Amino acid sequence: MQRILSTLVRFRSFIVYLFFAAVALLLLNNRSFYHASQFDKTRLSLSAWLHLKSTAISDYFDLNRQNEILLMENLALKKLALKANAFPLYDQYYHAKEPFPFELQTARIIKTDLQKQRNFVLINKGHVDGVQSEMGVIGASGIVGIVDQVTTHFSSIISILHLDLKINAQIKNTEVFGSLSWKGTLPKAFQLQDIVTTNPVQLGDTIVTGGRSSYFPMGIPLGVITQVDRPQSEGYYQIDVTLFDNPLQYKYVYLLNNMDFDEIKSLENQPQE
Amino acid sequence: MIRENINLGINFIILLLAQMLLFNKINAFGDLNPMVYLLFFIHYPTDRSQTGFITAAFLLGFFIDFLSQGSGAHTLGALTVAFVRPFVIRQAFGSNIEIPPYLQEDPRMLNRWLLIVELILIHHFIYFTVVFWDITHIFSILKNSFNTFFMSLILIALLINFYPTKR
Repeated sequence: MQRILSTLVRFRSFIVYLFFAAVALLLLNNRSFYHASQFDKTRLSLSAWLHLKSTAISDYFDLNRQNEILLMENLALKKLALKANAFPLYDQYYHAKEPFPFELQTARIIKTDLQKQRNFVLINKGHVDGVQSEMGVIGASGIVGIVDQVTTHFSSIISILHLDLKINAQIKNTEVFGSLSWKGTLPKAFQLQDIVTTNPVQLGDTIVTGGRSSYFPMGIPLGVITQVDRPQSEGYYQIDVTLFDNPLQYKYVYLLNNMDFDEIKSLENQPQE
Repeated sequence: MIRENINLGINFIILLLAQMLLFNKINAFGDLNPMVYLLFFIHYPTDRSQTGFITAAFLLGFFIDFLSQGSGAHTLGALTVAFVRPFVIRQAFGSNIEIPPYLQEDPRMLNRWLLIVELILIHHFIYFTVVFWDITHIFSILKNSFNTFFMSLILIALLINFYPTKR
């Protein structure tokens, strides 16, 4: 208290000056229309500026919630996009009541490997969220991998950046199918195998998922052809593909649950005669 | 002390009336009026309380504004000059030199005139800034400040001789 008082006494002339200046400004505001309007302008711009700043701060803290909202919106749009891409395969469902066989749900990546040859990704969804092994996982534009192990709350995904993973792929708008696999170097450098040299292949052709697997619907864009070699001795092309998106950059992913998966699997597992 | 106060009061009233009745009606070159009441800030003893000085300056500015239908520019100008006067004195005379109680008696002419010029400039700049109250009119503010400054300086230089040099 003593200190406060001594500070007040020390700065008394400044305090007196501020007091009288405030009185003078008040008079100015009351006596002159011009100054009153000028003060109003200043008040308005100041309050707008303050409001902008405070909104910017509150917006920043609201980003997580906004992200969740956008994710939900994207989920619905993603489902529509996948449905539209896979139209040739599932077109009967547009007329029948039976829906598109893939159900989507979102998940957040909590860990990503990137320096190994066989990489895995961990996500924050597990058994309790309905995740099962062998579900396909996609990102905003491209494939992330396939679910491998599932615990109660978490799951591991065999990343697309895994030398043993081969994705059924197709050159867009053709009937040319092959399998896409990582080259093991850069995250966007892939190769497309098993394409017979009799098929026409052009540089810049878009590669999409083929739909001939139960993990992914057809038509998910993957990348473009950047190099085509035609070895003399073999009957297959050597095709280099560059992905549209770096699979390491995703923070949120979509899990694809194929409703027909068990049925397909049971057929595959039937003993061959 | 009482006599000194009475003298200050008389000075206050004379300058107020002179400004009101005479110098506010000059309107030289259209609208230029010298502000001779700044003599009060030069004449006011330096050994008095700064708070009392600020209060007196406020009253002087307020009465001039009030009687001349002004909005409050004289008040703010006078108030600010009173507030910054100790800093300007130290700047003009040097911080280690003893300051005489009556500045107009000081034999150091150059320092004294530097102080007067600075006080007038500060006052006029504040005054016209308040009158225009818009940074886009900075050119008009500076132009009016300098024009009025020359008139005020000439009149103050003449009138300062009327103050008695001996207490």
